[in-house]
Amino acid sequence: MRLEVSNITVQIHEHTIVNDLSMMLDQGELVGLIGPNGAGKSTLLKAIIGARKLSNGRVMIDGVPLERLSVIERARNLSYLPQERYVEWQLPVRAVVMLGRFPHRQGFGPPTPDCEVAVDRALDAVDATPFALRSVTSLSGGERARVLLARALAVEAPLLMVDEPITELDPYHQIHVMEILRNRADEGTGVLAVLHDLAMAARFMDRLILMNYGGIVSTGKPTEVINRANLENVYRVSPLNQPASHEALTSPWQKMDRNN
Amino acid sequence: MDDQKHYYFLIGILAFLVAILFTFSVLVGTTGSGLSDIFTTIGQHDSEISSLIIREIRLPRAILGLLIGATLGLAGATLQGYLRNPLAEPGVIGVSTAAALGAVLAIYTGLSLVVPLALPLMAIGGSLIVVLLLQTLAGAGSVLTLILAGVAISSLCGALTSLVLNLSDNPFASLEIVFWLLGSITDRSMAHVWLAAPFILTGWLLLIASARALDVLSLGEEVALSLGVNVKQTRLLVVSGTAISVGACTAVSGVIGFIGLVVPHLLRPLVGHHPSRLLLASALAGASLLLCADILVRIVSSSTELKLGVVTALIGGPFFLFLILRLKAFYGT
Repeated sequence: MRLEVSNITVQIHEHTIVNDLSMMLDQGELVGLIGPNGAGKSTLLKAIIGARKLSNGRVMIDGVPLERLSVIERARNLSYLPQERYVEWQLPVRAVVMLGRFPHRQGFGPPTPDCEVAVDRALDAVDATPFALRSVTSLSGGERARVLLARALAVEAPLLMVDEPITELDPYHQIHVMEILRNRADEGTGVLAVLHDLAMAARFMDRLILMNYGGIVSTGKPTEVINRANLENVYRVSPLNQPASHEALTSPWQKMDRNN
Repeated sequence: MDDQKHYYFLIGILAFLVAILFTFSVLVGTTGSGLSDIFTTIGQHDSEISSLIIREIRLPRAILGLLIGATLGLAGATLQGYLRNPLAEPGVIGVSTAAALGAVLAIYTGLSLVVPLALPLMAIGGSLIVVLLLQTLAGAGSVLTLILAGVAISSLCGALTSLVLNLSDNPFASLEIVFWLLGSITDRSMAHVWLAAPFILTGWLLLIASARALDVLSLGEEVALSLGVNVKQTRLLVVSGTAISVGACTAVSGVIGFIGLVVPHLLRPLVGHHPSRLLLASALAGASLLLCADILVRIVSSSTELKLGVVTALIGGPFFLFLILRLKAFYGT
């Protein structure tokens, strides 16, 4: 399955947030979407799932424009984890993850064994089984973030869009979640993840897309994208000097003035 | 599953409670009737006074109590789920006040004296206008736009109702308007039941159709959309379902508050906080509460009967304060 974004433009209140952007995501590929705040990364993800109106361009899955698919077909193919970790009501963790099975369930009957298995798998993947019966509002920020990731995984869609999946996590779980995404990609899922942690992006991603001002500045292997010039021009930081072989595993070190 | 069993058990208990209260509602009144009278009466064309009272006065009253209570509970639960706000209730989208305005106009113009069903019909008309207005104003907007539009419509209809009262030079009409606004199901006939029931039942179907989407909406509109929920269609179901059913209720009973607010609040922890499971439970509990309040009204007052809307507010208000205090203790703030 292939996701194809061609020449999309998204405007919000007459501001152009995504500008004539094209990209592709193939099955089994783990792609990082990076760029400074306000570059348009989250809006691009929202546009892909159909939550933002396109002023131009189209999003296609296997050559079929998104608007030609039914909402359920679209939901089964594209799973989405937003940046906001929002849950209203004190639902039990397992029930939240089960909501990910919505596109696969019809009517009011109890969940099918398939759904139960998918939910168990997702809970297990994010280490959330021990607190599966607790209320989601009683969890810490990081635990809640993992539960919501499990919800997105439980859809078991061939394409997975995740917005800042590791931002609120401790180092152990950051690596853990990156490994989950890596595994999913190895199993055939196409994963597009918005990331701010450049070292993680460099270490785990097959390919990076660097965005700025609503467009793509650079795309390619992590070593090709994360370099001194891009850090200085796009992120406005200079990196801590690293041996050349580890250049992509950089640590942003110093702010740079906009005029520099 | 244990959770599922617990839910069915709760529904069973609530259904049993409704059945008991409904029977009791038909039994209780200033003229005593035994249980055997009821079963021999319903369906028979006996012209005995007690059977006449049961068939023509108490039965419609009990049926309306059941339908209205269930509607308020169901619509309250649906709106709280849809708006993701525990303070939402049917009044929040302006339906009750618009229906009340329609009814008040029917009384003011004297139309209700000429055509007895003009009052409920105009009230239903008022609530249908609200559906159109809300769809036009907030059809594609956010939840916030819907609430704002609802508040605006509600204030406008309230102001217009006050204007009608202000302009009314007939003290009897004014008194009738005020009394009607207080909310009651006394002296309603089967004609009222037949008039309101189709609208109420249609509204129920629309509200229930939105149930599954409500669960997914707990994660926000964008996630719901990404999971295959048709957000616009859900809004149409919730808004029109509430307007049609609550409008029809207000049309026959006047404004009865607090049930739609308190009942879902009370039941939420008992159904594991699932918005969809809250619907049926709230409908049954709403019916129980209204039947109970209506029975109380009959038992407590003898000469001047207390109005049902007044009693529900009297029970609901302090109860709501108690809930807030308990929440405050829970969060320790």
